[in-house]
Amino acid sequence: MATDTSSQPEIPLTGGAAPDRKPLLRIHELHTQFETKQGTVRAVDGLSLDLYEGEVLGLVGESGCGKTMTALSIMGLLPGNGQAVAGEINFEGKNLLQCSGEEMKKIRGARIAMVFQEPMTALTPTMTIGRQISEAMEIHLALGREEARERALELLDHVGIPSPRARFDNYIHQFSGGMRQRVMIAIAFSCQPRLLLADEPTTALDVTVQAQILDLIKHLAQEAGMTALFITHDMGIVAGSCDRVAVMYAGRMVEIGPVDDVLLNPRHPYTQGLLGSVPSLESKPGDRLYSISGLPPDLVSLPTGCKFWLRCPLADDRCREDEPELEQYGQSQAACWKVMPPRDVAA
Amino acid sequence: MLAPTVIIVMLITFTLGYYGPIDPVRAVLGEEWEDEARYAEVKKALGLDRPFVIQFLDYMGTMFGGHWGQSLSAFGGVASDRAVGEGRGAGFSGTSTGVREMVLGRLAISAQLSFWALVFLTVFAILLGVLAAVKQNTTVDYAIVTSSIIASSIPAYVIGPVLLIIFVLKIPVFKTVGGWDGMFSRQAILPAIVLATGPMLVIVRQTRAGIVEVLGKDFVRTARAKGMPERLVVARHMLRTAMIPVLTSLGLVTSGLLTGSLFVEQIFNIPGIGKLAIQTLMSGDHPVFMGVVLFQALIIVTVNLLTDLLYGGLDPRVTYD
Ligand SMILES: Nc1ncnc2c1ncn2[C@@H]1O[C@H](COP(=O)(O)OP(=O)(O)O)[C@@H](O)[C@H]1O
Ligand code: SF4
Ligand SMILES: [Mg+2]
Repeated sequence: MATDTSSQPEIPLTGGAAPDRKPLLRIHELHTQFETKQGTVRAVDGLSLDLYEGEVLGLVGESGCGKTMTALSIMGLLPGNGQAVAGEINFEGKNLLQCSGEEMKKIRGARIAMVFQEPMTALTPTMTIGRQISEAMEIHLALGREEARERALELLDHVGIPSPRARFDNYIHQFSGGMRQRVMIAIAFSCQPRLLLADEPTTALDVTVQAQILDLIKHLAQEAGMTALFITHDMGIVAGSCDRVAVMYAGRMVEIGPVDDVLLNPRHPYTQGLLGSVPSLESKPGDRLYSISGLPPDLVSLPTGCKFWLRCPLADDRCREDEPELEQYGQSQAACWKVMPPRDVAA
Repeated sequence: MLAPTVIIVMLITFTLGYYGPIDPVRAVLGEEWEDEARYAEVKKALGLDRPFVIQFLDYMGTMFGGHWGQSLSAFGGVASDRAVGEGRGAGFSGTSTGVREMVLGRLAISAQLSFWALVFLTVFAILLGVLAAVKQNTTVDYAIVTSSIIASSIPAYVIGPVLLIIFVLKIPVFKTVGGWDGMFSRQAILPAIVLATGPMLVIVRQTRAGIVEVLGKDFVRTARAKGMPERLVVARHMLRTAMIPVLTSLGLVTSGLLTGSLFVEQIFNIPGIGKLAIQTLMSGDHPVFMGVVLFQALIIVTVNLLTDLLYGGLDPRVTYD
């Protein structure tokens, strides 16, 4: 049975989420494009994704598959030549794509916060870190400067920055990468948002620091009962931190489900390929694990059919002509012709 | 750092003055200069018969001694009236003939004028530059850049008279045509505006480029992701970084304003240092002219130093130790 999340919103496919949960964010058929000299770049191409209250959803995929642009579409902060041209992003009763600039300013930082990938460049070099934390609270929580300062000091302490009072008036060049990311996290949590978008928050950090930062985000999100979209290309992080995982390829979703299910039982050849690089899972016997060869397709001129066929060892004529849609397999969903039970001969 | 720079500047200005076209003896003597005996007598009186090195050392002594020597008008004061062209003798006007008093008195006026011009520049040119950058590639942007190009390419001696015609003759906002009546008088407004138009384009362009460069930075996106109003994003997160290159230009512009208010002072008949320079050059009042030149050189050095110090204010990574 082919199931389309868009046409049946009343019986949504939860993609492995607990059925009693309510969606906080619903992305429906999102198309985000960039106009370039080479043509239209389809960075996000018909992505649908629900985030349920309180869950941590991992969004994975190779570099360039549209993870960051998905998050920036939610925030309404796409770069100048980019635009979410079609679809809906529903959050707290509003379609974010239709919100005015003023409405978005009330949502950004206050209801949805984002932690960026690059702690080296994502903070203002000419402003004290204390002010960078406190200024958003002055706007969103209507705090006075002194109150905001006190709260910022508490936050600095809470995210594990030693002697916050001394550090408040420091500039970021006086901080290490890990410390900067702690400041970013303090900013993100400062106004108690409902939704956290963390875009590869540990990718740029030393391996030793990565785990600490990850734990910090997990701890704070849990403490605040926050919903989080955790963008990463590291399956290890997904295994340790997320409830569900969504796999993106060429701007679309190819697999989604509970982490345990997807990691142990990847249905999509692309997911299997991504997992091929995780050593602990490689030992599992009888699996068709392999590393993906080749490059992702050109987003200006996408191939017909399944967007993965150029690199897929199982591709056949049908794959080259018709694009598979997401379908339910057990607790998860995948978009691949070869995992449909009657045709799943190659497995 | 300052002392060697000053000595080098003094050596250069002195050498230029020594070999330059002004003959102080002739300036003092006027038509009498062809009388060889008188010429030699005055030359000796002025100490100009001594060797270059001695004269230079003497000059340095006078300068570091702090009184900077005397105007030639102190030596009889006859010649001044016979000096060439208009504005003659103006260098000798006033009660004092001390170079220091003359230069400092005039400089105060030029400094006040330049101060206003700098205020106009920092307020309007930076504001326009920011606006052009934020409205990048729109009509607003083009209008701002184009009008700055126009404003800066029309020379002061054209804009000045035009403004005078408009605001004094046609719409009499200002009663008097020129002169100086203190920095808080109405007369200061027009010359300050004219003085500011020249460097306008540089500052508008620099500011625009600075902001445009910062616009796409990650930290600006972070500020927006916090839901900060655009006005605060610009003021708090972009301006300081964008101002770092602008500061360099502002430093150059400031020394330019102080030393180059020549035309403006001439047009508006303001007794500033620019006017003093022209007058003393015309009348051949060598010691005063030398004082002006040296002082202007010193201003440039000082402003550059101040600019360096201000970098520290803008860029927290700069430290002085
Ligand atoms: N400003 C831009 N102009 C054109 N294409 C862009 C721009 N920004 C991103 N893209 C394209 O969008 C695609 C998705 O990018 P992104 O979401 O950043 O990927 P990732 O999954 O690594 O976060 C990439 O292939 C990239 O080439
Ligand atoms: S649909 Fe075909 S080409 Fe695409 S992933 Fe499945 S098997 Fe491979
Ligand atoms: Mg990315």
